[in-house]
Amino acid sequence: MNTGPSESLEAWLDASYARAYRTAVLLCGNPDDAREAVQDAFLRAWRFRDSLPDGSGRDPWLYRVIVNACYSKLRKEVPRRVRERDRVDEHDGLYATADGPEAAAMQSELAGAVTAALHTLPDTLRVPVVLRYWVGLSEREIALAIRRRPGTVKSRLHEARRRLMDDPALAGLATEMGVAR
Amino acid sequence: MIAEIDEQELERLLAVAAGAVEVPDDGPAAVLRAAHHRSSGGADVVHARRDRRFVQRALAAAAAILVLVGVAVAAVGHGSGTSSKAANDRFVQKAAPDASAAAAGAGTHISEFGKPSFRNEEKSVSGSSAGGATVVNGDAVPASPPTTVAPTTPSGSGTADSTKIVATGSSVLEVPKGSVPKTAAGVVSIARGVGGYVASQSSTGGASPAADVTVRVPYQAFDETVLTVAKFVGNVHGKVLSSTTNSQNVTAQYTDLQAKRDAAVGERNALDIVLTHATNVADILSVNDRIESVQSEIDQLTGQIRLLNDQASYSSLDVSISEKAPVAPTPHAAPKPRAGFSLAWHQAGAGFAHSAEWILARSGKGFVAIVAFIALLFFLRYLYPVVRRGLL
Repeated sequence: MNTGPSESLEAWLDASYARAYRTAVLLCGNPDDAREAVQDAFLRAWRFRDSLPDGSGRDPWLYRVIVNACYSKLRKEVPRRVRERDRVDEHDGLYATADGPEAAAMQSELAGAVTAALHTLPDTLRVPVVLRYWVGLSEREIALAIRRRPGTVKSRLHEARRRLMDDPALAGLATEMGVAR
Repeated sequence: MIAEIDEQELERLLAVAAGAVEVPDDGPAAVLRAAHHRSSGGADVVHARRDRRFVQRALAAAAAILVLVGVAVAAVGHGSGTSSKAANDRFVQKAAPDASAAAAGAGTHISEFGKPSFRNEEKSVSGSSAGGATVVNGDAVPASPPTTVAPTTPSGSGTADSTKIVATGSSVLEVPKGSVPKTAAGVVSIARGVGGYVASQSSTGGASPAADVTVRVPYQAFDETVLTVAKFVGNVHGKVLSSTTNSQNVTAQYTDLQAKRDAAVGERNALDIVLTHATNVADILSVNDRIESVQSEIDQLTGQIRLLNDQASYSSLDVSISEKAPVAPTPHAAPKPRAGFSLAWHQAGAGFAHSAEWILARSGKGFVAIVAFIALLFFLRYLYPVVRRGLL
């Protein structure tokens, strides 16, 4: 994906908004927070578009801004009670056109379990997991994004996978859905 | 080996979770609107809230600063008010003993002050009693214009012209080094300017030059002269250490002397008549002796009357001028010997300082460079990311 701030903001949004928004939802756990965080991140990135790196350094920069915006939402701007109440836990109907209603229900249930399992992790583990296994950043890029050493990122990813392995609800659903271990 | 979830499995699970997230259709459009709003001078909701919060914090900080400044100003004002009150108390204490003198008829109020002019002046003259009183207090600017109280008409007898008041005063001036002759000349000039003259003048040279000047000025210009001298001393960066004025109503004494003289003159005239009718030598000698005695009394009374007239017409002001004494160094109070925990703490601090000095002395500039390098690393590692994050 070469679309970036060097092109128009509209083209950049068309190419990157959906992935950035899903990332923010997984990080924040709240659609409203994610929407504000992504908007804030794109506006900041657009404001500093002249200083954005080109090539492979661009995505870590953008996701670093998103992570910072999510941290800001998580820690300051939104009361915890509101976040807990509005957390994404409804996935009904999202897979209705996949393999029939039953499969869609199973997919939604699995998605809810994954989201719940993610949010059992602390921020320091959840952020590397999402950036590594959903966004697809390398450990070095994640290190740039969260301002930690690559070794720290590696150990955190290892710890996060170990904890997710121990999540009983996630393990049962994954087996039932046919996701092999 | 610690069991952990497979990476590919985790990717699939996260893809499931992310795929379940419904992306708002108007998300990009909202960002575009916000960007357009911002570029056109507006601000999106988040930034408006942030700006509002910034303004609130700025206002709170400004209010806190104002409160602190107000408290500080109030504290300083209270402190200076206390000082003024203390100064007033000192003035009252110094003036109090003189009040008894005034009650006794001397009518003298003395105050010492460090500023070269007068703040308050009060003069009262009571008709038949010898009760003139002057209170002088020092301040930079006179609070009220100098007043020369016109002699009031004594109740019962006499006229305003017959009222006699003798005013005297003395001032002790301290002037900068080398200013004694100039100040003495200024005092003389002031006196002559109001129609007065120099009664006496003396000066002392050497290491501590000083001058004493006694000037006589018309009674009506006496108060003005005292104030002018004080202002003049202020202009030469000196100060009035003390100033004393004394006003005494001598009308009764003057009238008494006149009456005695008139009586003596009458007696002498009668004796002159008796002398013309004396027939023998013994009577003539006796009456002549008596006339001489009365004439001598008349001469004495006339001299006293002339003296009172002169004193009442021209007031006397004694001015002592000296240079400022060098300020003696204030001896510092000897520190109390330390003991117990204080001693241990002091020794620990001294030991630490000595150790640091030892390390610095042996490591030279390299130690300073190392410390600076560590501080730079600390900044780059911990502080700069925070600043950078705030900027982003």
